[in-house]
Amino acid sequence: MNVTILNCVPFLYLAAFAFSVIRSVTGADIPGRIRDTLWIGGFVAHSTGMALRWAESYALGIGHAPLSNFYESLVFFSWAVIFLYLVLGFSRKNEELGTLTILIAFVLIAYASFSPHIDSRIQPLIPALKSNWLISHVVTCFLGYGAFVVASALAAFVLFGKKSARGGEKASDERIYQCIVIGFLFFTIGITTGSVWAHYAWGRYWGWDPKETWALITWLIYAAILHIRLIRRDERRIAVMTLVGLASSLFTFLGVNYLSGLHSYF
Amino acid sequence: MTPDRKSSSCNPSRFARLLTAFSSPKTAVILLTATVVASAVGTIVPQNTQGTALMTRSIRDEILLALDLHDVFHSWWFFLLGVLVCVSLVLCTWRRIRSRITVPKRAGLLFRRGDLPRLGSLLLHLGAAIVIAGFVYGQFQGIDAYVEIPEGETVSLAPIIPGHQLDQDLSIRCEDFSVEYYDSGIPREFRSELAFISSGAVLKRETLLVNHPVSFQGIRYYQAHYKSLPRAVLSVDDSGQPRTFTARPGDVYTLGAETFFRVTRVEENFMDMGPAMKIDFFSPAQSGYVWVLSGIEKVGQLFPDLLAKAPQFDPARFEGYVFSLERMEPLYVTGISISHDPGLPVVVMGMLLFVSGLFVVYLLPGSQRRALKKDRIQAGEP
Repeated sequence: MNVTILNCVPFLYLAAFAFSVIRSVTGADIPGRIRDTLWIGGFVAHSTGMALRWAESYALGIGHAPLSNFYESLVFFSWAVIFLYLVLGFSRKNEELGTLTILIAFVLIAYASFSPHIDSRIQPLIPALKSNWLISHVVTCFLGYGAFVVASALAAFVLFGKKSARGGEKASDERIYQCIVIGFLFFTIGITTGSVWAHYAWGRYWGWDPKETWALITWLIYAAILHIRLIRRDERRIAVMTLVGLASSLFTFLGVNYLSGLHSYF
Repeated sequence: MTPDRKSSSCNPSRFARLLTAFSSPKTAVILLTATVVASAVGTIVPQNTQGTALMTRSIRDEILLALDLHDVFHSWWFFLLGVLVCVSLVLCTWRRIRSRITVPKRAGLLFRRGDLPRLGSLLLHLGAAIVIAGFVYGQFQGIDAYVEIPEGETVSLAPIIPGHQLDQDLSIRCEDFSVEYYDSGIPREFRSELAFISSGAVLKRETLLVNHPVSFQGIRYYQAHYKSLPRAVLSVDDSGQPRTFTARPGDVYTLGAETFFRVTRVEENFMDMGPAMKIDFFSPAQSGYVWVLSGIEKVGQLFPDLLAKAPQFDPARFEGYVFSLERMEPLYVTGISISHDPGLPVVVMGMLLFVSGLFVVYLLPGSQRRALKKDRIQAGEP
C-alpha cells in the first residue's frame, strides 16, 4: 500500500514541475495555481506514504522507522528537500528556485521508485541497525543534506541564472548562507548522534570509516564556507564552494558505497 | 589587520601579529582545506595494507610508505595537522577572551547580554579544540583490541591488552553463542553469553548483543563479528557400542590400545556430495586415510562399483572399525571488540560546548547577523 502511494508521488512532482515551467514561460496565473496544488498534494501523499510504511512495518511484526535502507533513505531525502524548501519560506519569493527544487525532489524519489536495482520492500532490521539512535541520526543527516541541496539550488542561480531571476544578489547570498547554517546545524547533530551510536554499536565513536570520513569532509567544507564569508562576501566564490559542498554531500551519501566500509547497508 | 608602525620592529609585536594571523578566518580556511584534502586521500588510498613486498617496491610505493599514506589517519603529518588546527582554535579563543579583558569599560564583566553570540563563538571554537585534544589523548592512551572466542572456550585478557591496569588473571569464557534469524533468513540477533572469570571464579555473567555493549572493570566489550567453523559429529562402531565424537580438523581421539584417529579435514559440501570429513587412522595392524561422506549410500547407488574402485571412500576401510558422519554441528566463534577510551569524557565535554556554542551563535534571534558583523570588524574588514 505505502509503495503504491509513494510510486504516485514522482508523477505529482513531475506534473508540478511541468506546470511550474509553463508558469515561468507564460507568466499566467492558472498554471501557477495548478502547480501549487500538485506540489502540495504530492508532499501530502509523500508524507502519508512514509507514515503508512512505518505503520505497515509494525503490522508485519518488524516495526521500525522507514529509514533503514537505500530506498527509504532516498524517499526521505526527497521529502527533506521539499520540507526544507517549504519551512525556509522561499516558496513565494523565488519561483525559479521552486522549479529546481521540485525537479531535484522528483529525481530523488523517481530513482527510488523506478530503479530496478532498488528494493522497495519493507525489510526487517539487521542487528547493527536496531538502535534508538537510528531515527535521530538518519533524520538529522538527511535534513542537513536537504538544506545543502536547497543552498546549492540557490547557488546554481547565482552562477548560471539570469540576474532578474535571482531576486537581487544580496538577497540570494543571505539565503544561501541561511540554508548552509541550517544544514550545518543539522549535519553537526547528525554526525554527533552518529558517533554516539557508533560508540554503542562498534565500541568507538570515531573510526575513520569512509562514510565517517566523508561526512567529516563535507562538514569541514561547509565550516570553511562559513569562514570564507567572514573574510570576504564574494557571492560567486561562496556559490562555487556551495556546489563543491553538494558534490561532497552526494559522495558521502552515495559514492562511499564504492569504498568499503561499515555503512554498507545504506 | 592594521600594521602598527611603532612596534613593528620589536619581536613581541611581531609575535602578537603572528598569533593574530594564525587565529584568523583565513588560516582557518587554509587548515580546513588541508584537512579536507588529507582526509580524502585517506579514503582513496587503500588503508592499513602492509605495503607491497620489499623486492617489488616501485617509486610510487616508496612515496606512499614515506608519507604513511597507507595509514593516513595515524600518520605524523595528520597528527601535526590536528595540532595546528587545535592551536589555531585555542589562539582564536584566547584572542576573543583577551579582547574582552583589555577593553577597560567592560572590566569585571567578561560578557554582557548583547555579547551572547560572541560567547557562543568562543564556546564553539574552544569546544572544537577540546574535542580534538580528547580524541588524540584517547588514541594514545586508549585500548582498542579484538578477540575471537570459540563457543565454550576461555581466553585470557592480559596478553590481549598488555600494559593496562587489569586483573592479570582475568579471562572471558564464551558460554554460548547464538544467531537468531527472521523468516526471510536475515539475521535478527547475535548473542554471546559471556562469563568473566578470575582465579577460577566466575565474577560476572553477561549477555552481549549488537548495540548493547557490556562494561566490566572499566573496559567495554562489543559484539563485533562472528564466524562458524565446520565441525563434525561422527560415530565409530567397533563391533560394540558405537561411540560418538565431535571433531574439528586436528582433533585426535584414541579408540583403543595404540589405536587412534585424527580428523584432518571437515567439509560442509565436499565435491557437491554434501558434508564430508577426512580421517587418518593409525593402529599397529593398519593405517591410512578415509573420506567419510554423510551421503555415501546415495553416491553408492549412483556408482555401484565406487567402493571397489575407490576404497578411500569406504567407511569400513579399516577392519573392525566403521566410521560414519552423523551430522555437521557448526562451531561458533564470537568476535568481540574490547575498548577503553580515557579521552571520551573530554570529547563529550568538548562536543557539548561546541554544539551549545553553535546554537547560541546561529539560533538566537538576530544573533548571526550581529556576530558576523563583529567578526568582520575583528577580522579587519569593513
